[in-house]
Parts: sequence; C-alpha cells; structure tokens
Amino acid sequence: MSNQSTRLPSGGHIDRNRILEFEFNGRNLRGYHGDTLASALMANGIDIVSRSFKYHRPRGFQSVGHADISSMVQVLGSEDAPNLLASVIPLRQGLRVRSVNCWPSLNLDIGTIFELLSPVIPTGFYYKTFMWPHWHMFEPLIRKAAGFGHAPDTTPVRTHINRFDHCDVLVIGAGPSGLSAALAAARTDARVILVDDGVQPGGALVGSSASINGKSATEWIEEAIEELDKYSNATRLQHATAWGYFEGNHIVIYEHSPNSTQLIGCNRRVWAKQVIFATGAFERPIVFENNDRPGVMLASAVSSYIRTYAVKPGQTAVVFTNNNSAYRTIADLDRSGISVSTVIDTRSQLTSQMKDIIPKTCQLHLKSVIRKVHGSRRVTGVSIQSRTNDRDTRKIQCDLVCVSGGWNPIVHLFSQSGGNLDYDDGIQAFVPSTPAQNTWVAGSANGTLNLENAINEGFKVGQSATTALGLSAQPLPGIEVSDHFDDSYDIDEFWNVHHDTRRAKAFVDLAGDVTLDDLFLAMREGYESVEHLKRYTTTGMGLDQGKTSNVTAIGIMARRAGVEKSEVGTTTFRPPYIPVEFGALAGSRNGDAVLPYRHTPMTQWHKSAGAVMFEAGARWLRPSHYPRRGEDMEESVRRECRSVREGVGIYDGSPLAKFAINGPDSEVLLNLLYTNSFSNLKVRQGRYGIMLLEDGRIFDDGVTFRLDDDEYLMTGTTGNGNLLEHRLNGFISVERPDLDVRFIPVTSQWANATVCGPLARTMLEKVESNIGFAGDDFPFMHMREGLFADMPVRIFRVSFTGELSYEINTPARYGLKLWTHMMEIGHEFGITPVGSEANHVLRVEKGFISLAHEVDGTTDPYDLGMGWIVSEKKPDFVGMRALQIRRAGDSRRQQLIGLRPTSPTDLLPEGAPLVSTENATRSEGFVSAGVWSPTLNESIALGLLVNGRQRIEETVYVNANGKISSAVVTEPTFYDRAGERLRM
Amino acid sequence: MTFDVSIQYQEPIALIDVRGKQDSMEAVLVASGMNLPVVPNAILHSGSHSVFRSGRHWCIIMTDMKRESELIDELNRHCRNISVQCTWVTDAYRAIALVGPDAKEVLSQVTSIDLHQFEVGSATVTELFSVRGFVVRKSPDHFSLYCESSYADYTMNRLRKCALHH
Repeated sequence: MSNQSTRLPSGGHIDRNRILEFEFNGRNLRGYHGDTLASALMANGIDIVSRSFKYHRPRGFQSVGHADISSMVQVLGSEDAPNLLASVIPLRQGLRVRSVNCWPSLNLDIGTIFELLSPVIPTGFYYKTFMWPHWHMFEPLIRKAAGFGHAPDTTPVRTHINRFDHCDVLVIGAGPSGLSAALAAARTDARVILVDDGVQPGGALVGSSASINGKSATEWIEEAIEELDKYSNATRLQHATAWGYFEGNHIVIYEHSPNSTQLIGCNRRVWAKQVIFATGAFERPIVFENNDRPGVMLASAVSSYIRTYAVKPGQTAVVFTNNNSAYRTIADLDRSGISVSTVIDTRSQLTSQMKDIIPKTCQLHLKSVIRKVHGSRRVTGVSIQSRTNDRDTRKIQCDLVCVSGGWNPIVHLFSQSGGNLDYDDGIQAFVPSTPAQNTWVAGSANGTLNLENAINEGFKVGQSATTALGLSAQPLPGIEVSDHFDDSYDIDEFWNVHHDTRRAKAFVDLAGDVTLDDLFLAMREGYESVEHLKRYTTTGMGLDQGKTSNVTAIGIMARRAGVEKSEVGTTTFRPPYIPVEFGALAGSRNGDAVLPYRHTPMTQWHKSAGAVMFEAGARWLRPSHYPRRGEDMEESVRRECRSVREGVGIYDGSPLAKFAINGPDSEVLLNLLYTNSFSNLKVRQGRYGIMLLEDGRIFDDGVTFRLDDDEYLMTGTTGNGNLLEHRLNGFISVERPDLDVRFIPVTSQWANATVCGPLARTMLEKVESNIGFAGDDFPFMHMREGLFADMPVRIFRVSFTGELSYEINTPARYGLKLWTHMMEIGHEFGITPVGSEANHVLRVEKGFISLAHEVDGTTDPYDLGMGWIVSEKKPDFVGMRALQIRRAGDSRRQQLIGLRPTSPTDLLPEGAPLVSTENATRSEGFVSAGVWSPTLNESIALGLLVNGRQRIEETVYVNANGKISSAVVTEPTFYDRAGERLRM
Repeated sequence: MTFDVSIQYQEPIALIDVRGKQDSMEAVLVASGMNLPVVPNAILHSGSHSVFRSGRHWCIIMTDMKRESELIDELNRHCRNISVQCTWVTDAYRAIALVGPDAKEVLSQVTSIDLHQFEVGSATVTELFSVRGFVVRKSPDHFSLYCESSYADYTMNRLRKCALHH
C-alpha cells in the first residue's frame, strides 16, 4: 500500500481522516475523501496514466476536469465503463481502474511501434492507404489498435435515471460569477437551478488568496452556498455537467451520483426561462516539441492540484507563459515548496509586480520559449531558446513544466444555443456575441478575466435575467476584491514554437495525437477551411472535443495562412459537451422496459396457456401459436387450423384498430376515405372498404359498421392503428375541416374474442343472451348489441378465416371473463385457441389480402383483383385521380395470383422472386405468402406476378435458398371460392 | 434506497370522452349540470363529476362507476341536434395512483410537465414514458396517471423501476 509520497503535509480541500483504498493497474493505493482519482494517483507518485491514441506515447496529467483527456481510464468491476477521465472521477472506496490503450501493460506497450512508423502514417493516411484489396480487410486490425477501453460485458449493477425539471433561471457554473448570478436570481422569487461540474463549488476561487468584501475566498464561497441552500426556490446540482443545449432553452444535464450504491447518475432535461452561462474558461497550452510528456502541465492545473488536493505535481518546475495568469502558479509553487528554477516568458517586459512574484533563486528569461522537452517517461529537463536569437539556447533540469498559452472562454453551450461568437483581440480568444435564445453570459466565459469584474458581472446578469422574467430585482451589492496579485491579463499572441525536425512531435491536440506538422501538412494539401482541416486531421474530434486544442489550432492556422482568426472562424460546437454514457441516455429504460408492448385483457391468459407471443404491429403483443407439450410450431399451427375448419376456434382480436365516428357528415367522410360507397349502408350493417393514399396505392382496409344514423364504428389493420389515427386527424383538421364529424380511437376500450368455425353458432347458442344467432336473425356482415352471459357486448359477423365467425366485443374490463367463459362453454365442442400463425394460413387458403404481404405499398385494388370495390359513381375519394391516371397508362402491373407448387411439399418462401423459366434471372413478381395448408394437405402460396391474371395455369419458378421450385399459377382463392361457409 | 411512494392500480372510475366545438360541448355539459373549463389542460369539479378539458374540442368527464350508464344516457339525450360526440372510454384507460411523499420525485422521471406549477386539482395531457396519457394531481402527495389500458402493464413496470432508485 502506497504512502502518498507527493501529498503536501497540510492544506487542500480533502478530508484526511477519511482514507479511501483503491486499485490502479492491480496496485493497491490510498487517497482521501475529496480527492479525484487523478489527484489520488498523483499523490501516490503515479506519472503515467494511459497511452496516447495514435503513437502510444506515455501520458500523465495535463489539465484538470473534463479537459484532461490524458487521464483516461477504464473503470472495472460492477460499474465497468470505458474511457472515463481520472480527473473527474471522485475517489471512492474500492474503486478499481486500469489504463487504456496499452498492451500488454502500461509500461511495456507494444503499440509504441506506431511512433517509429509515424513517417509513413502522417495525418489523413487512412484516406490514402488501405485501398487495396479492400478497406474491410484492414478495418478490424485498425479498430483494435485504435480502441481505447472496452464496452462492459455485463449489465452494470448500478444504473442511471432520467428526469425532467423546469426553472426560471438556470445558472451554469458555480465559480465566482455563477455564484453571484445565482444569488442575485435566488434573492427574488425566481426558481433557480445552479449547476456546476466541479466536485465542489467555487471554480477558480477555490484556494484563491483574494479577499472579497473583506472575506477570504473560501469564506465568501461558503457564505454564498449557505445562503443559496436556505432558499427553497434554489436548487444546487454539484458534480453535474450541462452537456447539451437545445431549442427552447432546453438543457440536458448529467449529474453524477458518486455516493449512491444504486445510481451511477441522473440525466436531467431542464427547461429554463432564462439561462446564465458562467462556464468559466479553459487555459490553453503552447505547442512545442514533446509538450505531451508526463510532467508538462497547464499552469492552472498545477495550482489546482496544489490548492485543492494538496498534491505536489513535481519537485523542480519551470514556467512557460505568454501572459500574467501563470504568475499565480509561481506563487502557489513557491508556497508548496516546489522549487521554481526558471520562468520563460514570450513577452519582452514584465510589470514590477510580476517580477516581485518570481522567487529570488529563479531565473527569468524574457522573449524566450521552450524549444524542447527532454525525457521520455517523465520530464527531465527543457531546452530554452531566445526568440531573438535562435542560437541562444540552454538546457535546464526540471521535472515539471507549467505552461500557460492564455485562456479560452468556455463558449460551447452558448454556441450550441445558437449564439454568435466574436474574436476578441484583447484576450486573444473567441467570446460570446449575439445570443439566440434567452441567455446571458458572465465572468471569464464572457472574457471578463478580472475577478472583481467577474463577480459584479455575475450579480448584474442575475438581476437582468430576473428582470426579464418580470420579477422585481434586488439592488446590486457592491463587490470589492483585494488581491496581492494584479490580475491584469496582458497576453502576447503566441501559439507555437517553431521546430524543423520532422521526427520531433509537438502536439496541438492530445486527444487525437494531432501534431503541428499534421496541421501544416493538411494546409499544404489544400485543407484551408477550419471545418475541412478538423475532419482531415481529427483536431478537436477526440473525446474532449477540442476543449484545450481548438483555439490553438485556429490561431496556428490563421498565422500560417496570414489571415485573422475571425476569418478562420470556429468549428461547430455540438452536444454532448462531455462524453455521456449510453446508459445515461437510456436511464431506467432498460431490460423489459426498453420497448413498450401493449397487452390485451387476455394477454396473461395466453401466456399461461403456453402461447408463443410476438409483436404483431403497433406494439401489440399477440399469441403466435399455442403449442401443446411435444408439439413444434408447424404441428401446433396445423392443429389450430383444423379446429377452425372442422370445429370451433377462438382468437383474441382485441388489437384490431377501432374508431368511433360520429356526426352528420360521417357518411361523407367515409365516402371520401374509402373507394366504395357507404351511402346505402343500413344501421347494424357492416361493409368492407379499402382506403387509398393520395397516390392511389392501398393504405389500409377494414370493415365499418353503422351503429346509428350518424354513428359508425370503423376498424382498421392492427399494425396501422396509430397511422390511421394520425391520418384521420389530419384529414379532418387540414383537408376537410368543414365536415361536421368527429372520431375517437376506441381500440383499447373493447376486448374482442372471435369465435369461428362451423360449430361457432351452436356453441354461442348455449350462452345465455338476448341476442339470436340463427342465420336469418343474424346474417353475415351484420352486428348485434345486447347482453351475453350478463356482459354488454357488440357482436359482429365478420370473417377473416373464411368460416362462420362472430367477433364478440365487450368493454375491456369484461375481456378476460368473456374469454374464459367462451373456453368453458366451448369445452364440449373442443374449442381451440388460435394464434396469428394459424389465422395467416387460414386467410391464405381463402385468398384474403393482408397488409405487408399483398399490400406492400405498391399495390392498388385492381392489382389485387378488387376492382369491384372501386366505385365508378362516386364523385371523389382519396387517391381516385392518381388511380385513374395509373390505370390508364400502365398495363404491365403485378397482379395477385395463387401458386400451387408442382411438388406439393415444396414450401415457397415469402419474398422469393418469381421468374418465367427455370434459368431466368429477371424477376416478374414475388411470393407474398407461402404456407402449408392443412385443409388441402399441400403447400400453397399467394403472389404478385406481372399480368398474373392472364397467366392462370402457367408454370412459374421460384429460386430461393439454393433450390428451384416450379409452381402453377392459379386463382388466389384455394378454399370455398363461393364463400358459402362464412355466410352459413 | 427506494422512494417513499406507493404505486397501485386505482379503482376504476367512469370516463366519457366528449368532443365537439366549444359552444356545443359547453351546451351539452351545462344541460347535464357541469361546466367546461375555459382553457385546455384544466379541470373543473362539480358534485361527483370532474370535467377535464384535454383539448380545444375535447374533454373527458370523470365520474363514479355507478353513474356511468346514467350519465352517458343523459349526455346523449342532450346531444341530440347538437354536434357533440360522447363516447364511453372507461375501459380505454387505466388509472395508476402515485401516493406518498416522493410521488412528485418519481413523477419527474415520467413526464416533462412542470410539476412545480402543477397544483393540486390540476390535470394535463402528457406523455407517460412516451405513451399518451393524462395526469391529475389530487393532493400534494397524490397523483393519478391515466394511460391507455393496453399500455398499463408497461407503464406500471416502468413506474416501479423509477421508484427503485433514489
């Protein structure tokens, strides 16, 4: 167990009384509560955390928070997850992680060979190579080499949830300006949410030496938090990141739940009336040779590790900067006992205050740069060089390089919200300009880098946001900050150190191992647009989405091309701002909650009876078949079919789409929707209809019953229920709002048990009812209402099986009772529950059409031999004109036919193409449904064949699954062609 | 830790779907002793009936099961010569009661409505796990969720999952 060799003896915002044990690459280590995994690793003297993406170079800690792409690890164990950043993982007891992108180990990684091969794998090499023989031959190897962590093999024990929130003011960032904005808003009645991605609030103020209105920074933060927590109208989300900004001030926030034993995190979707961005700024690096070596860190990150976690990132430091902010770090280094040997500043002069900060023993090199970093697994020294004299170089020993190339306001979310950005020459960075939604920006996110100004700006935008809501604002508090450090920024525009060694590597983007030479090569090859350059080099396309590299790349491009940065512009900022796990997006929608299945009141009965269930369209779960012990599917289906043809069967028809239609114009509506006429339909009679789309092709079919003068019940295909509802709504609301008609979906209101077969009537007559079932009393395509075994019912004489059939509809609450009663009554008749597979066989025997089989989106009624259903008397119906035009111009249509295989046992597979000769390759149609008919004891099929009805008795061929079968073309009805059985 | 909430199917209440133009709906309701809320997504209670206006031309009457047939007969009587459709939809929906101190927390995982402004006595059409339904707030800790009855098992399953993780 390690002794935390680089931990400072005091200081930091960690709880030294709470020791946490964790494991890194199999080593048992210790840290403290309040540590991140990164700070705990650093405290244990770990320099290398992972290997880089392309060249497998050793990588350590470069930054903090979500910008530290080098600290990527794989979390192991019950919460197995790849590619998480050690810098944002709060340390917890028992945490187990390992390095990514290395094999067989972090220290001995075979992938380092790629650095030796780097001359032959320059930027964009994958666009130029692997062309022969085929990309897919190389792809698996490349993917394996390029992969970071691995996706979890098992379901995580802990889970995510999703939730929705609303607020008046959402403040993103709890640094100095964010806290002040939240205070200003919360002091009114506004509902405020303050979200911050740090482990603790305060942002850049944490550990600051500044005093605010006479209080230390720590005290000021504590008081602000205490006040906010008192307000019932304010909610704080700590360790939570706003990662996406969408239309309508809709922001998605990922909130970590590090201490929950059940939750990994919560993905919140928040709708805010006003949004304040106090997102802060990222420090950016300077590009020079070997600037990725472990021990090269951003200056602010070094300060953060010292102040927040009391860790010493090194023993002897050099500081390399082009602005004043790094001088704060010099003070932090000095206070923590880290020797600052040299300060290298690109500028030619410093203020006296900056000079005073530099320790006496430290050398100052103005107008100088770091030419190169020495060391391979850790910095051992740097070579520095004068900017005015290339030959003036010297080598300095050190193990820590603190770099500051300036600050980039974090504008990602502002840009996602549609806001414009401007380039500010004063701070050499892009800043928010014109907002597109109800947004405000404060603090360093707005380019306000002075602390006092940032806090006052926070209060001001907090007040403005609440005023915009019509709330009375509180007076602005006067904030005065005193700091011994003069935080004037005074930046010198400087992006990279020139180097001319091809083999040397100076990294612009650590996430994708994109070097300075890569950018220059891309520009030489003509990639002048920043969007093209980004894609060609992958700059800014890594997991960090260019948080520290994008502006630097733009600066380098502009300088190289001799244009302004504003002319280069930025690439598009897209969500997510941070990597978000798929589990966070899914939330609790996992396992059997992934897909919503609809149940009928009888679903549980079917399952108990051993039915094999399947999704039958529109999310309805239906029985496919009811196998008995020892039966396979075929045997079960044949038995069920025989019961309907010879005795009595029963099926659950509840999912059939049903709509109540009412109003004086109901008849007009039906005449417009269907191709045939509904004008002479009598009350209690039903009529089959076909509905077309505007292009004349079939959309749906079904039977509509007239319940009363102006009242109808329309049925449609199960799978089309939702579409039908949308279409009818659209038709009534948009096409014909003049019609006095209403329709209501009532599919779920009614349960349906359909009793069918030659014994159906005899069986139903055994049930106590006020409905007569005799043929004359209750003819085919009629309906009756009444009481049936004391249950209110509507019974329809419609048949989908070709047999005598009664569709018994009852309110859903009676559904199960009706079904079980039918099973009891039918017992003596051998009643058999019938699944959809048997229904399919029975309808094929009858030649009845079915959606998604014969109605495949291309057919019209004439194709299906149903020209009789197209009224020639009606003035109009949907699709009429298109149908007429097509019928006039196209004689070679595929038409519905029956197929009888020459060998009666050959089953013709659905979808198989039909050809005219054994060796022909040109398809003339296809098999729409092929089944074994237990009634006929042979294989039969339906199909669509070019000019099919003129080809009856012709032999066609089916070539499928490596076998050629021949079949004779027949009429599409194989059983009871006269339809006597369903009318008996 | 699980949320402090009870999630159960509610005893059924009668639901009658009423559709038509505002004036027509209002006339039928007034004749039947009820009032139509002025704006959609609002509910008015009168005696044993509640009228939830779920859309511009759509409301749902909720009443005691014992009054189901009587009420629809009465409504239909008043509908004669008025273009209003009254449809019996009691079985088309299933009500789930969320009761307990954490009911609001669980519901915030289910629906995007602003629960802070969703006061006691309010009702609104919403999506419950991407499935259409409506919610009534009966007390600070009691919500009734009405979902299409065919989705009831799915909705119940999801709700219980949501209640697991605090």
